[in-house]
Amino acid sequence: MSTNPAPERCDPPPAISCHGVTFRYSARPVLLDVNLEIPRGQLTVLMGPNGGGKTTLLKLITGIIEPTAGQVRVLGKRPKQARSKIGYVPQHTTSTNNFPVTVMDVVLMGRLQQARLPGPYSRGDKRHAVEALDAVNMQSAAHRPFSVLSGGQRQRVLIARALVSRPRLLLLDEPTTHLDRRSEVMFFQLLQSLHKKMTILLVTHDISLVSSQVETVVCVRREVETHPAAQLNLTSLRETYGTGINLFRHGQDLPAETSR
Amino acid sequence: MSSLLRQLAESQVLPFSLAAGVLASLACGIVGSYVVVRRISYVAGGMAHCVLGGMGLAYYLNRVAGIPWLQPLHGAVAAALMAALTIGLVSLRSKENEDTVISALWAVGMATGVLFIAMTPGYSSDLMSFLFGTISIVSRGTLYLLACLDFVVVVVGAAFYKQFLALCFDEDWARVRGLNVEFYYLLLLCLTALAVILLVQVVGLIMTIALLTLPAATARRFSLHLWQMMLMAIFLGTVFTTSGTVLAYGTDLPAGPVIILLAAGTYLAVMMGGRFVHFGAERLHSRKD
Repeated sequence: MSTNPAPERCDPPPAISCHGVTFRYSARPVLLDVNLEIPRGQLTVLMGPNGGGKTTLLKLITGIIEPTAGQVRVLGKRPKQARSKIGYVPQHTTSTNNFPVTVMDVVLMGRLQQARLPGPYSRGDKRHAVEALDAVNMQSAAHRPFSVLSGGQRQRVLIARALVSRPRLLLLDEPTTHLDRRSEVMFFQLLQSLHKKMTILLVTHDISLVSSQVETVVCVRREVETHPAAQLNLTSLRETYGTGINLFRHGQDLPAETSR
Repeated sequence: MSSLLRQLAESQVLPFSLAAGVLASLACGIVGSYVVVRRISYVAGGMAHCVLGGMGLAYYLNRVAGIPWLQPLHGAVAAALMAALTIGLVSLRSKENEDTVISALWAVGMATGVLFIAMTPGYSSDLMSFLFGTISIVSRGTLYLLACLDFVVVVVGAAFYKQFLALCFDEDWARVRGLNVEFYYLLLLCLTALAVILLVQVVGLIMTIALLTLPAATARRFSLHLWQMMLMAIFLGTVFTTSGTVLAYGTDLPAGPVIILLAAGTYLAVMMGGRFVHFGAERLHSRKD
């Protein structure tokens, strides 16, 4: 009498994995033999100096460009196939300041993949948009022109646009560049609430964004190094940035480390 | 005044002229709004001037080579679509600067058109009608062709509203979200080419950019949504073309320049009063909130 073997439990694939990824513009390597694995459910910061390859890595993850060598997988799939599960928040929009759209119009754009047929967005799409605005605490501004919002409010609306497609991976590109200190604090509170629901990858060249909520820091300077955020030290940062830096740890009562 | 009204009522050509104006306004309201928010009016200008090359060639072949069915309008459609695809592909794929290519097409189109018209035996005032429009002598056949072009522009412009909105508002984000940005940009340029053809009939190719952009730019100041901007631009375009045509008819002036000056005057007046309107709208919204 034979018994069926117990089915093996397969762990879900990581949120992002890069194996031997190289990308070159002409002959110049921008990223060289990158091996990276970001588990699901983590809040990860991708940081490095300007020109270090952060944006290129982000483009590879979103499938805008293909690697010269190696392979990138997002949620176990090729990046282009995983796009419906990726929420993307750009640093700013490419439109002019007086573009005639309301906050609701902007958030509904996030349903574009689900609403490909001609005609207006459905009631279901609008309900998802209201929920997304609610999540970023901007529901009262739904019918206001996008152009009259402050930098912090716009950032929240752009996050709502990313959330409305119910992503499992949220990518944020330089999200706090144009924010004042108060908006930055509110942004981190929002990130903390979102972190429970999805994997978050935050791209920045701003070391100050490495707060107590961040679990992993990926330093990018042509090659990548991964550090648990709690163990991030001046030596690794100096190697990444190649310059004198100050390090302050948010939410920890530690003296600041300084290096010149 | 009463004699003018009587003349208008008895006119055989005026209904065709007014219908051409309304058809052109429909296209210019929809496509003009996309052109203004996407900031591609220079592209539309390049297409409009390139059109003369196609018109001139068709005119030449019609008269000299004896191809009676080939009308300047056919040449214009071909030249405008060719210019749209060339500019679009250069912009998306080539390392050549887009403005250099547009300038080259602009000049080459004009030069080709002028040469073919000069080589064509006949009365040279045809050149003037291409440059400044023929709204006062629109034929029934031209009107049908314009209606067909309009149908395409309105249906495609409305059907892909969501995609065009995303493309115009945030191209980089749209690309990441998987929108086929290249396809929709080329489609938008082709729609712009068709709208340019419609407007060339009304105000001529020199003033096409003005009628494509001025009603839309005026409408933007009063609009919360892009679709509102389109509806208002259609309304303004209809008002400008209708009143301009009637005014020109009564005063025996060329209709194209009268229409453009009406549109420009309105835009200027709205711009001057813009701050007042803007603050008014803001106060209204803050009260609603």
